[in-house]
Formats: sequence, structure tokens, C-alpha cells
Amino acid sequence: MRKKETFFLSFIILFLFSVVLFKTSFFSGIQIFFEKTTSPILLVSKNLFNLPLNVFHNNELAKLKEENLNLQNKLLGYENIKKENNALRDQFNSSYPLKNTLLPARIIGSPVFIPGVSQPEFFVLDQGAKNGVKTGQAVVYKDNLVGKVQKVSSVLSVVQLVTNKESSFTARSVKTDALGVVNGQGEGEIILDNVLLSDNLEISDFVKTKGDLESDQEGILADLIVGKIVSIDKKSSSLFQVAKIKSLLNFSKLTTVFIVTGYQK
Amino acid sequence: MQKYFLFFLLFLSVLFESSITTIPIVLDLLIIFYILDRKSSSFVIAFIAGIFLDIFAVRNIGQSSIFLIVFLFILSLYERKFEVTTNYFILVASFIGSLLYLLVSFQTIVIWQAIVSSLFTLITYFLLKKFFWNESNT
Repeated sequence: MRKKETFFLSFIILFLFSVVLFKTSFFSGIQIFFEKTTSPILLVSKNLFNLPLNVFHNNELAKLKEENLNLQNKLLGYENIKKENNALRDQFNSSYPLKNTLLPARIIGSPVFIPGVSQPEFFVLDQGAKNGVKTGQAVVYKDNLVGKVQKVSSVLSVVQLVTNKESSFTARSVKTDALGVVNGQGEGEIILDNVLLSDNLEISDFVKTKGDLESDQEGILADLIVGKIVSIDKKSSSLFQVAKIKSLLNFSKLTTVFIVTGYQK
Repeated sequence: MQKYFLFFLLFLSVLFESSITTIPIVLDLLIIFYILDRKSSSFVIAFIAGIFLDIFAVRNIGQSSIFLIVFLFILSLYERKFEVTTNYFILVASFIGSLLYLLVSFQTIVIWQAIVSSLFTLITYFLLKKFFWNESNT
């Protein structure tokens, strides 16, 4: 009987204490201390675990992929300049590119189902509210959209990747300017959905963000690369056509990303 | 000595679960710890593990602790009706616990992760009991 009472008493006390912590920011000072001291440990444990996987990593292939990514970014940059030149010449449209304020952040956690096999759906970064990070801010890597900040604490933040099942934003294809909604499907897959049947989509065409900046400068800037179209599903019986997109980034290999903390004209 | 080894394993599992894997290995180890130890100190360990898990995974502090403590309490209630040290109980308890934990933490039901988690619990329980745990600790 005494043992049962101890059990029940322990449970009640700890349960109530947990509820108090959950509802209040009572623990915030100690939380900041633990986040600061343990984020290096998290980074080390992540790198240590990935060390045996990186033994089989082909450096030559990685270099070529990096070079390919840089060239594709340049190509899209030239396409943009060409379009802007035409628009300015025709006096139809002109855009003033906004300069981003980028905050570099290391990825200290990317939990997946099977490490080395599954694709991550969110990252834990070592930058938080103290460095100006807010929820809703875009996270990029070399003009490629990585995701959006979902949760922020004082020192850490969680980024929801574009491949996350809950990720959704508007985008358009570069060549044909078809408008659609990019939805993450999990396991590294992305689709461009809700594209009108009357719009054209081309395989190997790039998809860029349309932009959803809010007045407080949070959100995703336009013309960030989402990926490349790899297949199109177009049926005349459906309302919309759907395209599968492959991101140019290998999310499981990223180590540093950049948080867009502001925009300047 | 065995308890300290379990504490060390638990610490490693908190690090792993927050940075490397989404499989709820902290929950699995706590289930094993409770089944092997069966003392109220399991609640304290679950509380502390939950706090650290929430800090590292940037979740609301207390969220994981609430779940872990309540789950262990439910296990303790079943202790009177079922034999908890059987393989079937461990499999079922860890499967259901993992499913619910993934639902609470990630708002998604992932059957495969729960299956892997329950198998991990069973294998780890078997290894710990056979090679590291002395019955005189209970």
C-alpha cells in the first residue's frame, strides 16, 4: 500500500509540475542555458554519427554536384536578367530586387526515420530569437529555398523544409510562367499542384517561388529556386495538372543554411 | 552500476532522438527501465528526460514530460492486471506508446516507425536483461 501511495504521489507531483512548465515560461532562463551549452554537443553527435556514412561519400561526385548547382543558379540568374530587361524595355513591368539580410546558421539536428536513408523534413538550427530569427522567415541556400522557420526559442530554431508534408506555398515555372501550389509530400518529394490545365508545363523546367512577403517582411521572397520538374501528370478529366519536382539540394548533406532575417530596397 | 549505465544510455538516446532520428528511443528506454526497476524513481527520470528532449528539439517545455509520465503511470496500472515482463506486453506497450508519441510530437501516425520502435524496445530489453541487469537491483 505504501508503494502504491508513493507511486501515485510521485506521478501527481511530477505531472502537475510538467503542466506548470508547459503552461508558463518558468523554465526559460534555465532553458537558454541548456540550449547554449548543448547545441555544440548536438552538432558533435550529429557529425560523429554521420562520419561512417561520409566514408562512402564520393568527394569527386560531391564537387561535381556542387558545381552543377552553381551553374544552374547562374543560368536561372541570367534568365531573370533577360526577363527584366525585356520587361523594362516594354515598359510593362519592372521589379526592384530586394537585398536580403542573411544570417548563417549551422544545422545541429535533422532527425529522420532511418539516418542515412530517409530524407529529413525539418532541421534544428543554432540561431534563435536572440539573433533576430522569427517564425515565418525563409531559409535559403544559394538562392534555393530550403524551408520556413516554424518554431523559435532563444538560441535554437526549427525549420520546416519544403519537402515537409505541411509545407505549402505558391510558385511558378520559369519558362512557361505556370502558376501553382508547391506541396511537400515527405521523403524528399515535392509536387507542384493546382496548375490549370490551360497552362503549359515542361519537363526539366525550373520552379521558382512566387513570393508571399508580408508587411512585416516575413515570408518567402519571390524567385527563389524550388526545384526542377521531373514528371507531369495531366489528365483532361481532372481539374488541375500536377508536376513532380526534384529539389536541386541534397537536404541530408547540408551543414549550413542562411536565414533571411530581413529585406532592404 | 547497471542503473548508471541505463542513465548513460538514456542521455545518449535524448541526444540521438533530438538530432539524428525520429524513432522515440527515449520512450522505449523508459519503458525498459520501468519494467526492470518498477520504482517511482522512473517518473523522476521520465520527467527529466522529457525536459531535456523538449529543450533540444525546440518543443514546448513539459510536453514530452507530460506524455512520458502519464504513459509510465498507465503502464503501472496495467502491472496489476498483466504480467509486464513478457515479450508480448513489451511489444504492444512500446508500439502503442510510440504511435501516440509520434502523433503528439509530429501530428502524424507513422506505423513503420512504431513497429521499428517496438522491435528496438524488445531487443534492447532482452540484451539489457541478459547481460547488464542484475535482479537484485529491484
